[in-house]
Amino acid sequence: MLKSWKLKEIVLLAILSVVFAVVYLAFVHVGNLWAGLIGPIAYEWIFGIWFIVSIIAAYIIRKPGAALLSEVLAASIEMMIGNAIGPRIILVGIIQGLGAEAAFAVTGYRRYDLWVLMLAGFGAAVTSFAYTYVMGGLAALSPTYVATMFALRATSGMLIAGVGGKILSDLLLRTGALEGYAVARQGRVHG
Amino acid sequence: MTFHEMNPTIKFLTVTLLMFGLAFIYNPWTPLTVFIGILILQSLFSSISWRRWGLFMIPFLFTALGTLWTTLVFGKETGGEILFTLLGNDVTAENVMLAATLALRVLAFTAVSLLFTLTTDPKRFIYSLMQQGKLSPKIAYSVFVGFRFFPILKHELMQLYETHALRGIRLETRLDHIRHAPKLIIPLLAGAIRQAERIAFSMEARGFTGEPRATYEVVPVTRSDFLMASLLLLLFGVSAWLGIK
Amino acid sequence: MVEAEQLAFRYPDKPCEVLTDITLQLTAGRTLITGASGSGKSTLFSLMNRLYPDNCDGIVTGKLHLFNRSYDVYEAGEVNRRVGTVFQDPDSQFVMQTVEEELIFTLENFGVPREEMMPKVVAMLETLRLTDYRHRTIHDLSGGEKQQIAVACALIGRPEWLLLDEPLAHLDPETAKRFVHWLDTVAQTVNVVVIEHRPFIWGGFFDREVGLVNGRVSYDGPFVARPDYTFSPIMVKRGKEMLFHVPQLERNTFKLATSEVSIGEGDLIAVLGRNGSGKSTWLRSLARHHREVGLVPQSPAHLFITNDVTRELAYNHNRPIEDIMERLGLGSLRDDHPLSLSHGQKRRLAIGVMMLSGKQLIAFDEPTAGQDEESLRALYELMAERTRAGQTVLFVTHDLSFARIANTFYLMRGGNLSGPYDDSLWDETELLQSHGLLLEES
Repeated sequence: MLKSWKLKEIVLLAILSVVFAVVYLAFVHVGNLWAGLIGPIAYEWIFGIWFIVSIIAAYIIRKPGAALLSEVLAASIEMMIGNAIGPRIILVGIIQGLGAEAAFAVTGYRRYDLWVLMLAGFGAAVTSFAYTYVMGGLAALSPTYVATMFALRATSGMLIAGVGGKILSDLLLRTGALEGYAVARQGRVHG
Repeated sequence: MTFHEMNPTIKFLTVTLLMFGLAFIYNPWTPLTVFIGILILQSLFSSISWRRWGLFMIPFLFTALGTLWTTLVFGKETGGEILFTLLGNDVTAENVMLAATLALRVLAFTAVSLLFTLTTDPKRFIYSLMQQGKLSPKIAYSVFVGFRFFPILKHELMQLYETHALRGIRLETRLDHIRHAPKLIIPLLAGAIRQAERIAFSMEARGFTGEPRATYEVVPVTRSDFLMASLLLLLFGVSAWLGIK
Repeated sequence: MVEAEQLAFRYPDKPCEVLTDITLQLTAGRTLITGASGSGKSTLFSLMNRLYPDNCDGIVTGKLHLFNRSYDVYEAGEVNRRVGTVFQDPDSQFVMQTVEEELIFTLENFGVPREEMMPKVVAMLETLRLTDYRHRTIHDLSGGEKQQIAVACALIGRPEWLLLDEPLAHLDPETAKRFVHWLDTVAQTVNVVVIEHRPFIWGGFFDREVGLVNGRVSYDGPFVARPDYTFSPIMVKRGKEMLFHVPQLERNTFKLATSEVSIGEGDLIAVLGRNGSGKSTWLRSLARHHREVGLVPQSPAHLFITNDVTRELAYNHNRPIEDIMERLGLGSLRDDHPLSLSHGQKRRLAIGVMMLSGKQLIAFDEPTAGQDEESLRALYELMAERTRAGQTVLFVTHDLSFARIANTFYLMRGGNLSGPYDDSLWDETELLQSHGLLLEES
C-alpha cells in the first residue's frame, strides 16, 4: 500500500496526526468533565472531533489508506503522550479509521465532495459505535438510550468531522501550504 | 526483569489481549481481581511513581462513577425483585451487578492501560514495532519527525499568542480561548505542513528510502518477556475463574 | 558530476518552464550558484540531489547526467550516497532528538554495519571538532550549531559532493564567518556546491560561479570575490521626541536590562546585535508595553488572523482601507489568503495592518533574513517611503550592510542596550567588534 506514497505525504500524515492527537486528548478532558455528571453520553455530541484527522488526511492526500493510517497514528501518538485509555485507543483508531476509509473506498477513491466526507464521518460513527457497544457493555442500557447515543454520534460525525474537516482543509488549501499535494491539483481540475 | 524492560510489542499484545478478554466478562469480581492484581504486579515489577499514577487515575474514577449511576438509571428492564427505585427507574439486583461490572471494568481497563503507558518509552516501542512488528520504516520515522514537532509547535503557538495579543486580541476566559482556537490552528497547521515537506526532503537527501536499512538500536526478545506475558495472562485466568465461581 | 544539455524543467500544473536551455558541466572544486528568488537555482539544486523530479512530478526535458549516467536510471537514494545536502532552514532538516541519533540515522540509511556505527560517529565529530555536541538535544542548539550538525550528518555518509542551500541565511555575520572558516577546513576532500545570494561572507571560498537569471544560465566562469550590496542612508526629518521605557525582563538564564529610548518622530532607527544578544526579546517587550508600537515579526505570517487580505486590513477598526491597499500594491490580492502571499507581500500587508491601526512606530524584527537583493531593495524603498510620510521606523538586525540605511543606531549585547549613536558608529571599530558585529579581516 505504501509503495505509491511519497515520503512527504507520510510525513504530512504524521504531522497532522501529532497536531490532532493533542486536540483529541484535549477533547477527552472536555468529555471527562461531563462524563461524571451525565455518563458516557457526554462524549457523544463531540464524538465527531475524534474522526476529523482521517477525513482531512484523505481529502488532502487522496490515496487509499490515508483515512485509516492517519487515525491509527493519531491514536498511537495520543496514547504515547498520555491518554490513559492506553493501548485500547489504537484499536479504537483502527476501528474508526476503517469506518471512514470505507466511505472513500466505496466511491473508488475518486470523489471527495462534501457528501463523501460526511459519509466518511458517518462511517466512522457506525464502526466506533459498534465498538463502544461491545466494550462499554451498552447492551445493559435501555434501547432508547442507546439509540439516542448513536443518533448523537452519527450527527456529530457528519457535522464536526465531515463538514468541519472540509472547512478546515479548504482553508488550509487557500493558505497555499498544500501545493504539491493531490488536493491542490485535483481541486483545480474540477474547478 | 521489570515491565519497563519488557519488550514493548509483546507487552502491547498481552495487554490488548487482556483487555479484550475483560470486555466479554459480565461479573464484577473479574475486573475487581484484575484491578487489584495489576496493582500488586505493578508494585512488584515496576518503578512507577504512584503520584503520577494517581493523577492519571482520577478522571477515570469519575468516568467509573458516571458509568455506575447511568447504568442504574438508564439500565434496561430485567426481571426479578426490585431492590429500590432511582429517578423513576426500578432497579433490580441484576441491574446493580451490571452497573458494578461496567464501573469496575473502567477501572480495570485503566489500570492495565497505565501499566503499559507508564512503563513504555515511545521511542523504544516504535523501534520494537519496526523490528518485531514489521512496521514500515517510512511510518516509524515519520512518527519520530512528529515527536520532534512537539517543541516546535509549542514554540510556534507561543509566538502566535504573543503576536495576536499585539493586535489587540484579549483572551481572558476559557471560552475566549476556545473561540480563538480556529484562528490558531490554521496558521499552525499551514506552517507545520510546509516544514513537514522540507523535513521529508532532507530525509531523502540523507539517503532514507523506506527500504530495509541497518539498525543501531536493537530491542531484543528474551525468555523473560514471555514470562512476564504469562504472568499477566495468568492473572486474567485466575480472575475469570474467580468470577465464574 | 552534473552534466546538463538543453535541460528544461517545469512543474506539472504550471505552463511556464522554471529552467530553460541549461547547458552546464559541474566539475570537481567549489562552485557558487547565484540568482534571485525564482531564478530556478533551488530547482536546479533539487535536480542535482535527485529530490526532483519525483517529489513534485515535474517534467524534465533535455539531457541531465549525474555521475555520467542519466538521472532517471538511479534507484531511490542511490545518488544521495554520493551527494550530501545541507538545507537553508536549521529547524527542518532533522529527524531525531539528539546529535548522536541524528548521525546514526544517516548511517542506518546507508546500511553501515552496526558495530561500525559508533566509531564512525565518534570519528566524524572529532574531525569536525564537534565532539562536545554528541549528546546534545538538537532543538536546544543555536542556528549556527544546527547548521554545523547538518554538515556533519551530510559528511558522515562520505559523499563525493556536498550541496549547501543558503546555509547562512539565518546566521549573524560573525557566526556565518566562523561557519565558512570551519567549512573551509573540514571540507578539504569533498567537492562543494553552494547556493547563496550574498556571497561576500564566503570570501575567496569558491573557484567557480554559475549565475542564473529567469531559469537560464547567465554567467559561468571563475568566481570573483566581491563586496556585499551597499545601501545608502535614508534622509529623515526628526519631529518631536517620544520616550519609550522597556522594563527589566528575566527568562531562564537570560536577563534583559531596563532601557529607556528617546525616539524622534519620523526617525529611522536600527538596533544592532548578534543572534542571542536579546535584541528580538527587547523589541517584543517594547511592543508589549507600548500600544503605539506596531511589531512586524520575522515571519510576518504570525500576525494574520483572518482568511483574506481585505478582512485582514479591515480587522478591528472602521477606517477606509482602499487607499492603503492600493498604495501597498495589494489591490489585486484582495481576496487571497494572507498566508498564501509571498514574503514581500506578507510584509507589505503587515505594514498596512500597522498603518491602519494607527501605530506611530513600526518595528521590524530581522526584516532582511534570507532575502535576495531585489527583495532588500524593495524593503529599502518601503522604509524610505514610510519615513517620507513621517512614520517612525525601527528595525533590529545583524545585517550590517542593510543597517547603513538608518539614521540612529543602538547596540545590544547580553541584554544591555546602548546608544543612541549616529553614523559615526561605523568608524568605531572596537565598539562594533566588541558587540560581535565586525569581522576581523583575515
